[in-house]
Amino acid sequence: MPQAIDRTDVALAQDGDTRAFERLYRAHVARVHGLARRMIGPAHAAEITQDVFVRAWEKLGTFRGEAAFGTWLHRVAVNVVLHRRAALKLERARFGEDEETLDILPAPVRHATAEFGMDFDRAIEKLPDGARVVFVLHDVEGFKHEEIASFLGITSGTTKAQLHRARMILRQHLTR
Amino acid sequence: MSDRYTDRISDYLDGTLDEGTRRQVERHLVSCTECAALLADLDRVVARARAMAEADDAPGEDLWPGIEAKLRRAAEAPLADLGRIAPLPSPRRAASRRISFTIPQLAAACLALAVVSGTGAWILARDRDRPAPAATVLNAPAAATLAGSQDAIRDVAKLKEVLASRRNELDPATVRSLEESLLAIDTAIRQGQLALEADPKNPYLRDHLDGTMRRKVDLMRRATMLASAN
Repeated sequence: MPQAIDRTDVALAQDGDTRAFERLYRAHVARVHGLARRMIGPAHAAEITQDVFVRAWEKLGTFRGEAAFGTWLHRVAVNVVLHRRAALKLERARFGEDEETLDILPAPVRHATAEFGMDFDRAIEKLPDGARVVFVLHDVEGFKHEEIASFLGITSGTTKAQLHRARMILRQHLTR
Repeated sequence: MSDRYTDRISDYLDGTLDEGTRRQVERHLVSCTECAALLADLDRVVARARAMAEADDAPGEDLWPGIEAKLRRAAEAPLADLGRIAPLPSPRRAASRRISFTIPQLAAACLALAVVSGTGAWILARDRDRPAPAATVLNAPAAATLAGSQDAIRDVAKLKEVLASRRNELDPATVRSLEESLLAIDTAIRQGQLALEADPKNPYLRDHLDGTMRRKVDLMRRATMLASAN
């Protein structure tokens, strides 16, 4: 969606217009839902997506337009998702200790592009938790290591190691 | 393939290596077909990941009705909280000290109440004939008015707790007057918020609502100070 249209709807929504906020929701829901699905899994994705937009509504008064609305919304979404992740106790006692998931990736389906895409999605879901979160934030969502380290409260050296680990696992998946 | 270089392939791909290390990796890639193949594979993984975000579809079910319902509940929750009288503490023997408001203090509270109620009634009468807005309008996001601000709501909640804990130290007539005043102020706040929903850009309504909320906080604060001082 063009940023100019976003800006108009943001201004209206900041004045309490829920129809304008609904337009923003429809423009951005796919990416927010995708983020939630990949970070936490399909079972909680819809509920978390709703929470992201409720949180965005609550914080809309703080949006000053320095960044694009989509960028701002994505940061809100990452914070909501990470908070929920902790609440769901998906965080392991130590970052990325579930090695057993390394060998359970399903064989890829190569004959249809759509199916392959869904299969890659499922492969991401099966990554070890820490590696999956870093991979989604870096390679899918485009955040930098320093930002991810800040989100997660770890060092950028750890995020680099987790990213490489995730890529190596997914490489096995793509080359089987 | 060399583990020494394998671990650096991702950083090389992302362009995060320092210049010297980058040249070393490049020289190695020329002579090591395994590492070159690894680089190509990881490049495919990254390309696939980047394409995913652009190809995301909206979820199968429409989540907006649920979001809208949550926004409405969130908008109504603070109002329900403000309208609720603090519950009585569990029955116990009344404290020996009893506290009463002085006549000037009660008069000031009643004056505030009269101003608030009168203005609220004027707002309702003025707005009754206004056409309904085309779009659904909830309370503007929380920071828009003092009455909707989390700070004000927290202040009121704290003061309610203090008053509830010292309720038995206050004269019953004073407690009755205080509760009646608070109830009337809550009604005025509710009326102001309804008027603001119909006309969210009206600066007078916002100021009025903020003023009403401040009066409520001031009245509660004064009552709490009196309870503490005796």
